[in-house]
Amino acid sequence: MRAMLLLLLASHAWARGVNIDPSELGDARGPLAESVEQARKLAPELFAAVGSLDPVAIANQSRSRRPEVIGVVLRRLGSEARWALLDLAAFHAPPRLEPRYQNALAVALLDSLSLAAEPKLAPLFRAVWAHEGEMAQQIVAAIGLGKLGELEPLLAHVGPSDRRRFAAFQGLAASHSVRGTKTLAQLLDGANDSKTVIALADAIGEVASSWSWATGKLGNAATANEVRLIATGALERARGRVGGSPSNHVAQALRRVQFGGQ
Amino acid sequence: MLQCIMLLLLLAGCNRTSSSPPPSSLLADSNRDGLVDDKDYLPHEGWSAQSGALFLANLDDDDGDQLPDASDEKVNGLDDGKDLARIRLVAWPIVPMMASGKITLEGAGDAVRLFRVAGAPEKWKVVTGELSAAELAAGAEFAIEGKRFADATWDGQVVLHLVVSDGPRVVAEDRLALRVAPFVMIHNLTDLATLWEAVPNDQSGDAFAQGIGSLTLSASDDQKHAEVDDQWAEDWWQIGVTFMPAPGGTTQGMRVAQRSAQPNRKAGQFAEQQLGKDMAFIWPHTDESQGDLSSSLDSFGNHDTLPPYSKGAVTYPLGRILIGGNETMYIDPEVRAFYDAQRVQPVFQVDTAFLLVGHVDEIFSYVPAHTPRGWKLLVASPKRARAMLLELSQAGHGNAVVFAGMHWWNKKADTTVDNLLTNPELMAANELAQLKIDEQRLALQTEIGLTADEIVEMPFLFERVKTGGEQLLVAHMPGTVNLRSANGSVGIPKPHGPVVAGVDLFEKDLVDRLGTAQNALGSDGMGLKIHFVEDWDDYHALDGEVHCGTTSQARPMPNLNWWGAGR
Repeated sequence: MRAMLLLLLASHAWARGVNIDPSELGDARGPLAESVEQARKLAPELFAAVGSLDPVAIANQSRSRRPEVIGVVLRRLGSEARWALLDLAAFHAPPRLEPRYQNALAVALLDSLSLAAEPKLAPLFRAVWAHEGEMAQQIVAAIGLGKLGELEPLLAHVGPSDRRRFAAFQGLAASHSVRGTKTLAQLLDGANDSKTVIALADAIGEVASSWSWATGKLGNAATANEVRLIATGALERARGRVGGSPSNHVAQALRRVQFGGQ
Repeated sequence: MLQCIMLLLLLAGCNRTSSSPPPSSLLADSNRDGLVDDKDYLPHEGWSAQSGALFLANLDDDDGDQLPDASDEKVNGLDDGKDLARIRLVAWPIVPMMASGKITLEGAGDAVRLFRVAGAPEKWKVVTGELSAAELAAGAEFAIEGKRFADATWDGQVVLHLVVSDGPRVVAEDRLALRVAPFVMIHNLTDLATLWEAVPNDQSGDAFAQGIGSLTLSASDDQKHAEVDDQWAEDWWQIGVTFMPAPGGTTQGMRVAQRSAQPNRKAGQFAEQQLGKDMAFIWPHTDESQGDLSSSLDSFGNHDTLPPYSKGAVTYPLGRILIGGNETMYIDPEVRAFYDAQRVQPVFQVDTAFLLVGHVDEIFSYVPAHTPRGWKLLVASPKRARAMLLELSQAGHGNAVVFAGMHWWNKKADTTVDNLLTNPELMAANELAQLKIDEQRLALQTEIGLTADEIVEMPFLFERVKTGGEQLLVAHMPGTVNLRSANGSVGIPKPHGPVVAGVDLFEKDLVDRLGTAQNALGSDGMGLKIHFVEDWDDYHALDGEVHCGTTSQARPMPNLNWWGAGR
């Protein structure tokens, strides 16, 4: 436990959020700031703990020594930490880290916040989605939007030449929706290049993941069947026309869709 | 005329049938009985699985001067002398008076050193290879040491080329091929002497150390602590062996501490500090790290050893090195080249890039079994974990607490069976994990030729983290496959599984299947001696487990006939 305590940093240099400037939240800035402050009053120790996590020390203590380890730590804090994480993401960034740690922290914050499926966080994901560049952050922002059912911003970027299309695919997959599944299936039917087929197959495997649907938390049995039917059809059609590495991804996605009951 | 006959005899060396070696021939322990005598008069111009002499890379420090014995041009005492392989020049009593000889070392560059044996080892001198007529007449003894193991630049072989001339005429000639003994990685069936740990000096570290203590007591091992600020004792070093035949069917050699190819990892200095009597130190590595994951792949938890097996006519009597990686993320090329150059444990690679840490020991392990193969493969199984949880839930135990009393970074980790099962994100991650594991399991199963009943599933759930383009998996429940196997006992991470009526049902499952005759595990088939080791705070919460926190050392010296491996 001593080793863990060493990972806590005391100093902070507040300026803007790790992911965005608070002004990017638009009208939501005030209400979100208020939610953060209310949560801070209720659980100041949680904010202190979150604010003092040192991604570099955590990486150095962890087995992998990878900066991405901060993502595991933040996820394990659970949804009750969402306001403290939002505070870091949008309002009060800690001192900047080396780029690889800074980038890992930025992605990890959005990844963890996406799991909370908190509708009030949509403006954060929209703001990051609107950024140019920062693809890794845009992917997890897309997932955040997908989990909240905000498909319109994603559907606007699924075109074959859109730079954000692979991120949008992942967002649609995270939506676990019939509409998202249909879109992904149609796109797979028309996809020819390997990278796109792989990205779409992976996304369809995710959107129709049988173990996820078996939890009963994504929708009722009828919806589950519809999603899996659409996904299976698209993957079967793709299996008949693609080879090489894409075919492996298609086969794996089919197994994910059909794993149920095992 | 006599000289002509002699030359013909020597040049015909590869077809020798006489039991008596001709004058001015070179003899080494070609028959591998630990002695150099007339019985070694065998074909010796090439090295093969059937015959050929061996010598050691003399990299231990028998005289305690903090330097490898091969770093100087002396033989550092009697013990050091034992690490040098002997070579005998057969006397030619009636050598022509004006004859002279010359021994040259071919094919090894500066990787070997030849001494003239005369008197006590401290008095042996490095020879240039020049031989006088008197020396040729009397015969001579030499000793050879390697200054390094085989590597990317040297195949480990050297040929001693003797030419005896009488003026311009060559009157005798011989070639003697030798091979440096390889660095050999030990495996889970090796008789172990010591388990090393490097636990932090705190309460949770104490609990881990106690668990390892229980394991070592059961396994008749010593437990040793490495005082370093890096608890991943498996990762920053490993201890292999190297050895050659010695008289009486024994072996002569040393243990070899290898530092991981992670130059910034200071704990690796501990490995270097272990240099000593019968303990060598090596550090193959490139200077540049290839990035985070590739760097993680250089941890020795990702360099495991499959125990010995045969598949068809191909045998692997020392097992094989198993590493994780793929085409784009891989272990340090220098280390890979080093392993390949040893030849006796051919490397097999599985794809571990789907794992956050990326190590083979996160999904595979190996334990002794009373079967023709002698061991079984343990494989991580999210599928079995999910099935066990579903069964519990359906039996009305959905509220059973999992991870009772444990914490993630000061946050309570307690959850329930149903909370795990109804988490779509967690279940999606585990479905993906199972598919990825299945692929690698199939690859390994096919390569080895394992049957289904030679595989034992180890149930635990994974979780994932999204890093942008990737989703990487890591153990959510303690990764019980990441265990330490030692002399028929196993130290398994305490599962902290669902507790019903005071019984941890994941513990019970492992005891039932691994600790009994059910799967014929253990050398007698009656099950392994199981010790659950508390590793949550210092290991599991930081993405590793028991195997990652310990490293093992073999008893001296394993009686393994690597030279008969046919490689």
